[in-house]
Amino acid sequence: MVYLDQAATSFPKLDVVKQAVMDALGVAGNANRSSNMDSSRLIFAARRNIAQLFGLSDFHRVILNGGNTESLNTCIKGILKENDHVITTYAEHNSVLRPLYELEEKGIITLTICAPYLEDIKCHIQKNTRMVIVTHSSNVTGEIFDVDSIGKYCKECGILFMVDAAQSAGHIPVSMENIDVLCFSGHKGLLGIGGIGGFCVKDIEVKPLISGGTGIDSFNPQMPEAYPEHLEAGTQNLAGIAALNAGVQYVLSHQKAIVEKEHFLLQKLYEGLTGDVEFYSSLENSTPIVALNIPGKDSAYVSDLLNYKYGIVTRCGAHCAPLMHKHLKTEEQGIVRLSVSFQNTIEDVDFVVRAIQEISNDH
Amino acid sequence: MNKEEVLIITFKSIQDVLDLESKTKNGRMIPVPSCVKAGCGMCFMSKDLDEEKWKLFLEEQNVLYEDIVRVNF
Repeated sequence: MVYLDQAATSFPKLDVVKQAVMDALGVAGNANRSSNMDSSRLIFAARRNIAQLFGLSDFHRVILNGGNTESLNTCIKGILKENDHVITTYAEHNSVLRPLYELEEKGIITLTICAPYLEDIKCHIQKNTRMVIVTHSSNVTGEIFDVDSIGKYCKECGILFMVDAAQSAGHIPVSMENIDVLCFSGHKGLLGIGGIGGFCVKDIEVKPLISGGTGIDSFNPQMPEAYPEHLEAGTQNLAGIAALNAGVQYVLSHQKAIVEKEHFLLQKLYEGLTGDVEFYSSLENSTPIVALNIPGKDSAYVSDLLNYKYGIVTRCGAHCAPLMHKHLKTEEQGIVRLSVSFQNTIEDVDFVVRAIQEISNDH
Repeated sequence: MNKEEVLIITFKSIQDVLDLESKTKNGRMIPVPSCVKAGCGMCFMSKDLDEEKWKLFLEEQNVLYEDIVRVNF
């Protein structure tokens, strides 16, 4: 099998990640509850490494949960208040759009959706604009958006800036310098396993999405005020956090090599994919995604053929990003997404190039 | 078993007791004794009873803490 769906989830999992999961399964105790604190120590180490990766000075503000969707829901629903205006972009995933639509439908917020560029965002600022939400990199095209400039502008305007780093974290350096809230997936570029993710939030109050046991402050009828416990009800996913921690440690020590290898593979993909192929992505300013179609062929047909005839795993369809597809006018055809990582090889690239060439020639 | 006087440092977040544990060997984490605070959670216990020295250390190391008390434990 040739796995080119790294944007969906990283594969294969690194040996250090697998070993971290196995080791975690051998750790006794429930974090923050048991008198044996080894599980708490493991989570603490992960929190500190994640803070370091994103340049966040306060490790209390690293919240770990079931994934990026939970993070986005928690932050959108836990920060926004009645009469807030929010600006987001057509490049967003449904995990951003749907919670926002929900609040809009309930009459809590008003919502503006525009292009993911500073000049467009500037045009839509209102007196009550409280938050701007932008994905760092499109999960459809891989395009990287200028979150530093947008964040600086938001800071000047006193507007909160939230970034969805699902497709960027691990693939490229991510800094929270100009970001108030950063939501991340644990199993994509950060190399962990499914069911783990989180967010980093600066000194902003976030109301918990769920309440429950935290291991502290038990007689308080409310969730504890202290972070991260304020936002971490219930038993933590220790194996998932161990996997994420191993992945983050790997990224911390290999970030430069990851960027270089992924750019190299992306370059080779573009060099090889010539002929009758329509691109929706480009080499520069991109995470390692190639978005393409073969004219006249349904993306599902191409993706399926790549899978059953060649053993190449890709993703087709709408990628849970409906507005990006409307923007690209690909609602009907969808897009075939090839997403690579440093774990892929030049042989993988050569193989998919030949396969797409054959499918393209097969009229 | 005979109880002895110890110094207990309490915290609002368990992250902070873990933070302190990573910075000193002069004591250990224990569940918060009920005479200090009802409920649950972890605190740091030390036989070193010099409260002022601990305050200075915690400040120097940027460890957030809630309270320092002496109890028989």
